[in-house]
Amino acid sequence: MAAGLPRRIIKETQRLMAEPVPGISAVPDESNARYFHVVVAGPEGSPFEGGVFKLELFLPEEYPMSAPKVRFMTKIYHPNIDKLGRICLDILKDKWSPALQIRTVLLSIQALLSAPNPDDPLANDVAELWKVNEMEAIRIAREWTRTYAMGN
Amino acid sequence: MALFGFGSSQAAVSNELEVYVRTNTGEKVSVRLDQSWTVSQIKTTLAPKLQSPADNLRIIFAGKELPDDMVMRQCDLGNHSILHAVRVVSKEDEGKGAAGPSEVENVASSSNTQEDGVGGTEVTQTEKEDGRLQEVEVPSTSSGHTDAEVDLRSKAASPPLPEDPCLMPGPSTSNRSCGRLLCDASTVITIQMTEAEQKSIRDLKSYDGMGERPHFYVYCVVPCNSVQVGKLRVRCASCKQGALTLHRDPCNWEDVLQPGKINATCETPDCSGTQAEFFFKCRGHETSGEDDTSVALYLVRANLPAVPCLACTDVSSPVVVFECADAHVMCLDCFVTYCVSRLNERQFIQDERLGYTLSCPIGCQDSLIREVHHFKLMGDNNYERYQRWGTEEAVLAAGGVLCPYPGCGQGIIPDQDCRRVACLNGCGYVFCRLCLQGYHIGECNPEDGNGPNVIGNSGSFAVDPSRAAGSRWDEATSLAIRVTTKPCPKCRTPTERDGGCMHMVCTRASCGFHWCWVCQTEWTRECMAAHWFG
Repeated sequence: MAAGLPRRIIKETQRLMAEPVPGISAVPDESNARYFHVVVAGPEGSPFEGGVFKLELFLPEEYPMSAPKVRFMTKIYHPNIDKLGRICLDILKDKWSPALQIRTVLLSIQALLSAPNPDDPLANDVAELWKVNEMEAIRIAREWTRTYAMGN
Repeated sequence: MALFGFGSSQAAVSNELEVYVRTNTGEKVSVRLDQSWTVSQIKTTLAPKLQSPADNLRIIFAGKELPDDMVMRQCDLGNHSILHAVRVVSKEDEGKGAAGPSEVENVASSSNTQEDGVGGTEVTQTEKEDGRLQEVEVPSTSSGHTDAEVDLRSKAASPPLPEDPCLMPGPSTSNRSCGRLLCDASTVITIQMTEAEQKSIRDLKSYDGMGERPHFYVYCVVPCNSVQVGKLRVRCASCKQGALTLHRDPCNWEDVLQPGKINATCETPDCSGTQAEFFFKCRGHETSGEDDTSVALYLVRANLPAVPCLACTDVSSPVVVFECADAHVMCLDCFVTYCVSRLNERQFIQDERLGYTLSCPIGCQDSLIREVHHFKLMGDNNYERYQRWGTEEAVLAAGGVLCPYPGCGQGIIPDQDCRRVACLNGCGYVFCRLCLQGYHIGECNPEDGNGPNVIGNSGSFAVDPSRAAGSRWDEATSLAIRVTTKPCPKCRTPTERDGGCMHMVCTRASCGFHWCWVCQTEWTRECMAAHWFG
């Protein structure tokens, strides 16, 4: 571990390694202990099932006083995730508290995949379709999952 | 002065102390004592200096008369601490009516047979001492005096009182005869914790196990400029002297922080004070006198139950315990980081009653910090910024404006309907209240702010205002701000958009307005539909 890395980050990392969250893997980058390579499995029963989604997670200097920065690297059709992979999740913004952890953030993101929230959208076109024609939206989400989140 | 290490009250490096003893007649003598001495030994040492038999002296410290068998170490004295000596006044003579202390001129031989003051016989003595004469009596336990002083004295000889319901088992058990001392661990615990918390501490037994002792903590501004262990002290609210005895022990912060909560008997002649006033002294340095007091940091406690910090998850002591229902715990380092990061983002909360403050980092209800000295932990520079911004927010909350002239920022509370504001006590800049640009007639033009309206002194050369505006040192900065920012439609805070969508949330804590970068109006569903991402 890099010198000067806060003990909290070291402890969190160790715990993520020792007791990983089911369906999620988070591994720190070899050259930057604040940068995590994250892989989230699409939750069962969701249109993302079977998909493997890559994310990047970065702990800013102020962490844990400010939230980690998280972004989907794999394209995903979801009303709360825009085409650049940015996530609309309150705990990543104004609802962040230093008592939250990498683990809780990733669990929340996993939950967001299971339960999209088209009323608080980030990707507006996706949200509109999700509200107007949920069947069609889910179909596209499945298709995107197959195209972008499977096979590699 | 490292007589007491931080956090280890009883591990004295040296046993020798120099303390002052002040009598209720105004004398002040200095005494060298050893911490292993008992109160009785001090009385013997004092007797010749005060020309009063040892038996006739009562030693009062921190609102309590000290029993003869108490060892000084229990009192948590520091170098130059002040003890109070009171000569006992005879009940009989008071009974005679007319004889006030100053009129009594009797001379009597002292009979020092009751060295330990525990006897049952009455020994009445008087003593001459130039006008400050006291007639004295060692009260007996059997004579049924009703005088409060005598009662106290009697207790010293009587069997230990039933244990105080909120008394914690502590190292000092022999002092029960005078109730709790203010320096006792039990006092700290009683004041800092609810009954439930006290119980859980007892259950955990961590109080004994960890070797961690409860303490009060203060912010010592001079000379330590840091968090220090504090000593709770008490004085008369009227005469500010320490020679008084409390009628009951303080049981919570309210008792300590609100003056007049606890009654007391003041022993200073001619003072009819009946109320106690508590204050704190810093243990980190040798006291420089009675005015050398510090502010209690009532959120800071010794971490007896070993609760991990909510941010770094380490267990350390002392910690900050917030006032929310869950009593969230944060270590001092993380508390400082938390405050500084909130300050840097200007996210402190302007509360009408409490001023510029912060809540528990989880954001719990009713957790705002009430004592601003906690923010002193951020260090001098940050505290100065905190104070400046707090003042600014207070001005804005009161409907005022801040002078927009670069480097000025003077707070002005103009008349309600007046759009033309002059920075009278500051730089003299005259500006428009609405657009915060130089004052102008007619509608505001957000794209083209006027430069400052420099008004030369009479007789000096005139400069074209627009030319002068372009030559300002800060022009490049203000130009950059004008080009790269848009004002929040509500509070006009210049806001930069460094990426992301068009949905802006004003960064000023007290504003928080949701607005659209494109429309420069409130954020709406239409904005989402039309140009959310540009």
